[in-house]
Amino acid sequence: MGRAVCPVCGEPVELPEDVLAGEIVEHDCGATLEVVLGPEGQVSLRVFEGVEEDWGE
Amino acid sequence: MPSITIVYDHPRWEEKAIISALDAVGAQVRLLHLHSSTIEVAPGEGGVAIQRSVSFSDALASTIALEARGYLVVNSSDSIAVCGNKLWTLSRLVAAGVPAPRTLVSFSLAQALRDAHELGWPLVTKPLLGSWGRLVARASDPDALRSILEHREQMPGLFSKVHLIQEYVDKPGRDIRVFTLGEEPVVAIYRVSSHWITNTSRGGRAEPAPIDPELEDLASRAAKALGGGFLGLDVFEDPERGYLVNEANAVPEFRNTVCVTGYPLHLRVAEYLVALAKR
Repeated sequence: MGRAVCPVCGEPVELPEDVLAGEIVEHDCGATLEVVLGPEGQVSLRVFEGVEEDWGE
Repeated sequence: MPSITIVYDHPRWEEKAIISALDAVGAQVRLLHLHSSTIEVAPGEGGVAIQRSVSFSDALASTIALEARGYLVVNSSDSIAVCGNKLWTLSRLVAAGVPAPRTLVSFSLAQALRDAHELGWPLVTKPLLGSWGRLVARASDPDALRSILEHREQMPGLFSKVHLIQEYVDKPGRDIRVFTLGEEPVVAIYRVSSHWITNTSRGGRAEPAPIDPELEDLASRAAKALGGGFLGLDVFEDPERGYLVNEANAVPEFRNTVCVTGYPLHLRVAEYLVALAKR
């Protein structure tokens, strides 16, 4: 998959090869980002808004 | 080749491990990312799915919709709804004779304060919904309990004025997370912490834990009461009464468990799903 651009600082963000839609990425600038896959499979990032209710270990 | 659908919102280590394990056992993997999908509520193609959404409401709603389409979802909507509600969980456990911490439910602040002393001090109050130990509070006396409940009543939420008040179990610096598949306990960890909240997401340290015959029986009965599937059970060790099942998690995280035990839980989950698909 490669790279996308951080919407907060504009710097490139390295993504894992097996990246999936919805995956959460922590960027060096401190932003928590969510992976978005477009209809053609293009990868972009947006600021993660969090999850209201969840599970855990 | 059996086809297994993975339902998710924010994939973590666990979801990727299950995907890899399904590949390894020869299953065809179908990814259902909820924020990119719409599910028609109508009879449909059916199949086997595993629910891995971090969001409780998305997990429950998508499971209900997939069940309408004929899917067997691990876990079922019933199990997710029950395990997502601490009161409902305790209700199912005690009805099945599974030992659990003594718990009161009050519907007003005044009544909660009147009756809480029955449990002794300190005691624990917790929201009906939620995980990772958040908003679980220990009150050492009536003044502390009043403060906690008054704050909670001001918070938005469906059950913010329903007060779950539980005895404080004096744990030995740890509790136990037992994972069950079907109704079989398969692996367990201690969650060790100097803090009374032991969730690993809150700093608890995972260590391998044995499953003795008593714990095996208890976890099996708890899993049956909660609908089976793939569950994480939180178990206390009470110095006098022995094991008590406190809560259950219907979409459990297990990365730390795999790390410290070496037990390939993701592979066992994949094998369990494939076995269901072949039935």
